[in-house]
Amino acid sequence: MLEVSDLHAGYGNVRVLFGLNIKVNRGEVHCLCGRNGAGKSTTLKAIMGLVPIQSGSVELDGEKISSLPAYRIPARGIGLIPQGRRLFSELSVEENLQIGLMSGQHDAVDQHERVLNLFPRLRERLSQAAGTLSGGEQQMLAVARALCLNPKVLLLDEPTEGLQPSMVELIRAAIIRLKNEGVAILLVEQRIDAVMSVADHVSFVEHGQTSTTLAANEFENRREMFSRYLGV
Amino acid sequence: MDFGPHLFLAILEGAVTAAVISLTAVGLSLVFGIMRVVNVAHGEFFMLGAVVAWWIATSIGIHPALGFTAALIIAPIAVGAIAALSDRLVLSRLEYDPERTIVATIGLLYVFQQATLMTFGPDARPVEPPFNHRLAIPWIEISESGLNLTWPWGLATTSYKLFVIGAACIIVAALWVFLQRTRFGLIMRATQLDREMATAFGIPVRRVYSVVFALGAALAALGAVLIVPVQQAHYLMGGDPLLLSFIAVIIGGLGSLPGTILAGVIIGMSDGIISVFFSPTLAKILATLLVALVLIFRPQGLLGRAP
Repeated sequence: MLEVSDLHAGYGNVRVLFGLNIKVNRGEVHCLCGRNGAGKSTTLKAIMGLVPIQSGSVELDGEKISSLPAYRIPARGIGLIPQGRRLFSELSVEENLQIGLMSGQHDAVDQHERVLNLFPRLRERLSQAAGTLSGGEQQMLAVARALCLNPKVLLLDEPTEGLQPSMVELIRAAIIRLKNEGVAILLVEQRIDAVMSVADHVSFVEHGQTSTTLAANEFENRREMFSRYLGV
Repeated sequence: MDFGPHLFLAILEGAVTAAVISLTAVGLSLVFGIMRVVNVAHGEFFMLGAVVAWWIATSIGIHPALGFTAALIIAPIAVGAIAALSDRLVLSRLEYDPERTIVATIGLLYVFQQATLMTFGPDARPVEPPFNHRLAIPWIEISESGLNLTWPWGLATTSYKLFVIGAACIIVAALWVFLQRTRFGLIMRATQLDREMATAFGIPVRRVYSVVFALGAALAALGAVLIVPVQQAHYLMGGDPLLLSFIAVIIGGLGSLPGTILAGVIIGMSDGIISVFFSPTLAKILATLLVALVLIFRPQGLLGRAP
């Protein structure tokens, strides 16, 4: 479904990715692990077209999307949940969802309902400014906003960062539900327990390259790799 | 004339200035708030609005009201189109870099100014107001016999000046509704808050910037069309609106529309009142001093958010 091949990308003259490769299939959670500065978040941004790509390609269902302008990529079916949520903090919850609904190729009313059914707490907060929500509610809104696109592929950048355990569980349940619905998920995560509980594959990123990719049945035998790449 | 009626007259004059400054400053504030571009050429869009209004009114020439109405519609659209073209040809190619766009808009300022001089010449051009009835204003005086209604000599305004104040209020209210209640208004506000995330949700930010730059210029042009029957069109007339708009935007809070409108009213009223009682130069000096005080004691402006 999503295939990143030999991706070289960076900010201005600073190159961050040096030939990164990832493949994520429908209904699969693929985790990117690695130390800070390894290039995980840059990978997600490069897929979204937010970081200039120097060479290599990103393909979605066989269509090369890396040559499209960044604003056209969400409509192809890729949603981003960025690190730190990056909500439109002065807009209301409803307005944040409306922004998400603008690019989706779907019935906006149905998708709006579907998303609010997934996170009923947001229904009570629709008119509240996003910046005034609790941390957990903000993360729910960040996920909900991305789901408004009805994405085929969801990119999540450390979605459990700074959340209390109950919220982590809620986000984890949402990821599993989306995976079961056939969404391909590329997840950047630093928490080893979160990675091992949801991932089908894990790619370790080092110096802007994927060094090793493991399948779920290899996780237990290769725990030392998590320690090496996550510093845990 | 006694002090009371004289002050009231000065307030009325100030309200006309405040209406036009608020409109012009809101355009500048939109451009800065959303695009982070300090548009030094904003005063020239005001000037172009006035000159285009004169050209349209003179070309039609059947009846002042018809010419003025046509100018009120066409001039902002024409100036907005020039601004959108400037954005595509210059600002977007500079990637909206804050420093380089300052230099670029200084260049645009001279291009527009000199092009107008070469095309229309150096003369001030009058535009006839669509209506201009003199309205005497009554004054209530307290005397030993009670309250007396009097008609002090010289205490009067014109129907056109009241129209300018009313029209500016309606345009600002319409802009507010546009920003808060429409899909494109939501897109503009989202782009203002986070350009990268707006792109990540499918918003074509460069096109939004073009529209915002055109809208900002069109607002300046609207202000100019409204004031040109009072002031006359001239190729050097963009300086004062630019200065007063910058002052309003800084005092109100960079990028804050309510703050800009409030500051526009304060600056416009004080400019009008001080100009009537003292001199226009003193009004500009005091306004600039006020900016300095705001920058020292409340750098985020009246309604801006502290960083």
